[in-house]
Amino acid sequence: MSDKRDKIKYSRHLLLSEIGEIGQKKLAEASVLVVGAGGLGCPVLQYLAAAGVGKIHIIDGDRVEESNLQRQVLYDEANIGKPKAEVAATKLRKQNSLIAVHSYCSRLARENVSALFQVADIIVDCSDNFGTRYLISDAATLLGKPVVYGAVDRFQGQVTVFSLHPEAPTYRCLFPVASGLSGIQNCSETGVLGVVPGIIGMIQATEVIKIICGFGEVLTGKVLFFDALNMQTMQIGLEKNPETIKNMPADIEELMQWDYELICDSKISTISAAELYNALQRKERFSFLDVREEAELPEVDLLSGHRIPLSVLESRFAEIDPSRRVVVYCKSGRRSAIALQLLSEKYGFAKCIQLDGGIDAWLQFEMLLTRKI
Amino acid sequence: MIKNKVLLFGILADAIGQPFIEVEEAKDTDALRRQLVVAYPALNMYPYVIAHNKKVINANQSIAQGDELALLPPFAGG
Repeated sequence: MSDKRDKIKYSRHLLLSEIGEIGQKKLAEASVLVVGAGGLGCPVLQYLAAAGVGKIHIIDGDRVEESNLQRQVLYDEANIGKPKAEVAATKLRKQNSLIAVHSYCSRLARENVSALFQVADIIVDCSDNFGTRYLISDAATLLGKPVVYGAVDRFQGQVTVFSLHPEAPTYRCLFPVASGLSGIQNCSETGVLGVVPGIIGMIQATEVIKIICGFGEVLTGKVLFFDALNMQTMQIGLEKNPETIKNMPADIEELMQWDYELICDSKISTISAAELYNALQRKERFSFLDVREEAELPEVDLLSGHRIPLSVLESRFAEIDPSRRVVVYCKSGRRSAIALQLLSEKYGFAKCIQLDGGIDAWLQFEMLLTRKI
Repeated sequence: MIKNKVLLFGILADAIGQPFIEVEEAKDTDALRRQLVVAYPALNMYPYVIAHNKKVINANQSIAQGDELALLPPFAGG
């Protein structure tokens, strides 16, 4: 580090033996992608820029809204209506002219995820929806990039580092499948105390700096839960679960075929195996629609009904009685989600719901029920 | 009858209206899940994972007296 301005700007870092000139150089050479420039993204971006992270990439497809200003501290009233990624980049460049900031005013999607992840050493998950969270986790796992994850709900937050190395846990080790999330809402629906994403975001920024410089103990293999109501934190251990590899694409080519928004779509009505079981116990009536292919097994007596494979559903949808409450199912829940969207959006079937996790989830639940206590 | 205290996080605490519940002694985490399905149907609407003695479980685990149990839902917000 020869530049005099650098030495002045980062003097408080240079005094720390854990960072020093070597650490500050590592920060200057690092490239970090921040997905989402909202409540979590704002503090992450401000502190990474201040710390001198050399290349900061920001992706966010949203524009600044008045209701964001209660917690998204990078923006002011004059920014309302402007793209967040662009406004954030402009402010960060003013904050620190020694770093490079790149902005992408679009949503992270399967089409751009691979190219964006390639240019980054670390991904910071500051997104606000499950589809993006699973997309980030799967892509980062496949490309071998660490993810510094944060998420908030009202007064609480979760934060950890995923896929730090091949043996480290991922988001899927915490929440294995992306279905059944219809009951969980985001900040715009449930509200959030403005400082909570601030606190969680600053913990994320801390972990990014620790990973780059290589000091301290990285928050991996455990998830930190924070509760602002009683100011308590709790660390919950999390191990790599090798089984979860079955739930994700095998490679980036397969990932490109997955529709993460659809898998997590909150508009799709789902019923869990437990809910369905309870409803059947209460003698609620359903008719069942099995959209697996003709010869697919197993047959489940409790769920026996009409079988119309997804591949021929469009030519045979008239066989379904629109007045009945229909539970659509397949093996894992993926085909039933597609079938349900088709039936409800294209053909106006209002009473269809899908079995979350499909026959697999049902069998697992049945096994759980029948296992001797 | 010994009861197990189960901490609830996020939306689960809201669904039940309190930050923890007490359930009848369960021999293992599968038995706990079965109890919850019947005793707290409001929880069936949400996905969650069980933490046993501050560790996320991914298979059935036996529960001893005084063990710490918690239900963790995913958070979407950012």
